[in-house]
Amino acid sequence: MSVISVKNLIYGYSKGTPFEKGALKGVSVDIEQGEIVAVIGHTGSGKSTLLQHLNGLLKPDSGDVLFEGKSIYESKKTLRECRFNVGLCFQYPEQQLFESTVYKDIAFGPHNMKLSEEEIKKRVYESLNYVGLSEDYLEKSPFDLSGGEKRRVAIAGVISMEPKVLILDEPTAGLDPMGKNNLLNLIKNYNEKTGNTVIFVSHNMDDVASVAQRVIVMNDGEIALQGTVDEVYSQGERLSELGLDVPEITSLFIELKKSGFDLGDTEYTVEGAKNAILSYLRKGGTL
Amino acid sequence: MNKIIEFKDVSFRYSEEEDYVLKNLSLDFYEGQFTCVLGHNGSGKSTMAKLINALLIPNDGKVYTFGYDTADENLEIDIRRKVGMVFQNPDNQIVATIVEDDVAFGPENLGIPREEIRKRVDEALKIVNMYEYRRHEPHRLSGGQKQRIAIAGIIAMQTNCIVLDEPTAMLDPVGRREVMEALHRLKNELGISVILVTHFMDEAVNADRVVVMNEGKVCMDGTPREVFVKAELLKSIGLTVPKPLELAEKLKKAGVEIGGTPLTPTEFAEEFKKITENRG
Ligand SMILES: Nc1ncnc2c1ncn2[C@@H]1O[C@H](COP(=O)(O)OP(=O)(O)OP(=O)(O)O)[C@@H](O)[C@H]1O
Ligand SMILES: Nc1ncnc2c1ncn2[C@@H]1O[C@H](COP(=O)(O)OP(=O)(O)OP(=O)(O)O)[C@@H](O)[C@H]1O
Ligand SMILES: [Mg+2]
Ligand SMILES: [Mg+2]
Repeated sequence: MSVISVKNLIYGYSKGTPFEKGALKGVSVDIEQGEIVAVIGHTGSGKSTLLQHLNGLLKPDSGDVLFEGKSIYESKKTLRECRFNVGLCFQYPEQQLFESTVYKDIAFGPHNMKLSEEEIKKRVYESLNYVGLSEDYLEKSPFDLSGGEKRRVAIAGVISMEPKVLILDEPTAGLDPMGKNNLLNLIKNYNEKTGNTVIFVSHNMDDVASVAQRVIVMNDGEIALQGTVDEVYSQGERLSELGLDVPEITSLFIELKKSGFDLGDTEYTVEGAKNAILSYLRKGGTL
Repeated sequence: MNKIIEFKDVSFRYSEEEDYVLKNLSLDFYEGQFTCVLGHNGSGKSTMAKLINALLIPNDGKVYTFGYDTADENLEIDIRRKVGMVFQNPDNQIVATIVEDDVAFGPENLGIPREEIRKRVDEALKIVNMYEYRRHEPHRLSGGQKQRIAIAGIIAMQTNCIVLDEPTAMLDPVGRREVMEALHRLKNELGISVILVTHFMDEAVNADRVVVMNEGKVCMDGTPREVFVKAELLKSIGLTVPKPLELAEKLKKAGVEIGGTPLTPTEFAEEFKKITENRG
């Protein structure tokens, strides 16, 4: 059974005004238990709007969202259950942070879940460690932090609930390169260790290539394309029509191929490119 | 080259109970240059940026912006006429309830004539691909759309110097490329000095100068090539190098004699041709 099932979602903002905007125009998709799914798409394509439906923050004009087979909008109880199981981290951390200290902010979710103080404390420390912040931050106000530090606290606040479905809206935006790598590892580890599902939005085609098992491409309120990284990234022209781009390593590969080097399948990551080039050189006897 | 911004032995902390965020920072910026500022989260980039246009004042030392002492409150307006700024979070700088008024706000404060403002606002909105949203409410836009509006605002101001704090963090790949091209055009065509804070190494590749901050200090300063060649040092402070160079380094470790410091895919392809030609 799919952990989340999205059925023909339609949603518009600013209804009844001249700016009425169809943000989702009939989106259907099934998310399987244990998947890592990346949602990509141009600015304003509807990614954040879609994500905010998955834990019931927005209510569709029509259509439905099922969590483990049951409509989340059915009753207060189903909505509440969904909120505990589907954790969403917003695009801007400022939308999420509100407590007076970092500790309280990260503890907020576990507290609502009525976990024991001991368990809450354990989770706060673990999550903080996960996002690469030291304990010195715990008593600080989340508003007195740098942009990247805020992002880390916001992510820790969702992870501390250990949600069955972890949803992150542009989690690597504003992180420094090491923080970004750690976060991508965190996504992988979280998925492997707990078997839980992760859905994340990213504009970084390299990041997506390194962790996603499935890629969903949004365009103007609809799903334009989906499949494995290979299936999606091999459609370079279609991607640029959709306002996207191939990863930098892929353009490097395309350059090399244009120069007449027959390197085989296109690669998306540095590691993949290294191996392909090495095997090419070995075959040609230049190494 | 003319110095436009001068940090003289600047120390800064947000409150007396806290540690210094910037420690005896001395750093100059020059007219007509495109400077990228890199550094780990919390290294002091945004703090440094806010000291440039007097949003923050040093505890010790001096910041001179176009010769004006930023600690002198009377000079604040003069400073803001010279230096425009895009903040890290666009929500913090939305001032109007309609997109085009928001973009016009900066130029209006500079006392630019009406028709000229009209022209600049339209142009700026077209550059960031938000012209069709000109009558919308800026609060009711997607994350990347808000960021584009903030960038349009600074493009329309055309101040002598513009400071942008991670302006492309939420943009899609095409939007990011367009904004980078627009910033380089401002520099090349209007001679505007650009200071860009970013975590994207590929944005730094085309800069005239790269400044790397670490724990409140400048730890590297030079051309992109001079900085990126020191991959180990960069990694040790939480940063990285552009992907083509990372690939070249990895190949070298595996015994491939690829030379140079390729920072872009094209440069990589050129270096790669050389090794195969040498062998062949
Ligand atoms: N609060 C709002 N009120 C009105 N319209 C909105 C609001 N938020 C978003 N929109 C519009 O809905 C559409 C989809 O927005 P959404 O935030 O889902 O895009 P996105 O794909 O997340 O974009 P980005 O990459 O810029 O974050 C956009 O055209 C946007 O202008
Ligand atoms: N308003 C504030 N009050 C107290 N401390 C602050 C405040 N803003 C930032 N800091 C602290 O000052 C240090 C430098 O922050 P700054 O925002 O300059 O970093 P940054 O280099 O811009 O980081 P990022 O890449 O995450 O945006 C950080 O350790 C941060 O916690
Ligand atoms: Mg969004
Ligand atoms: Mg910052």
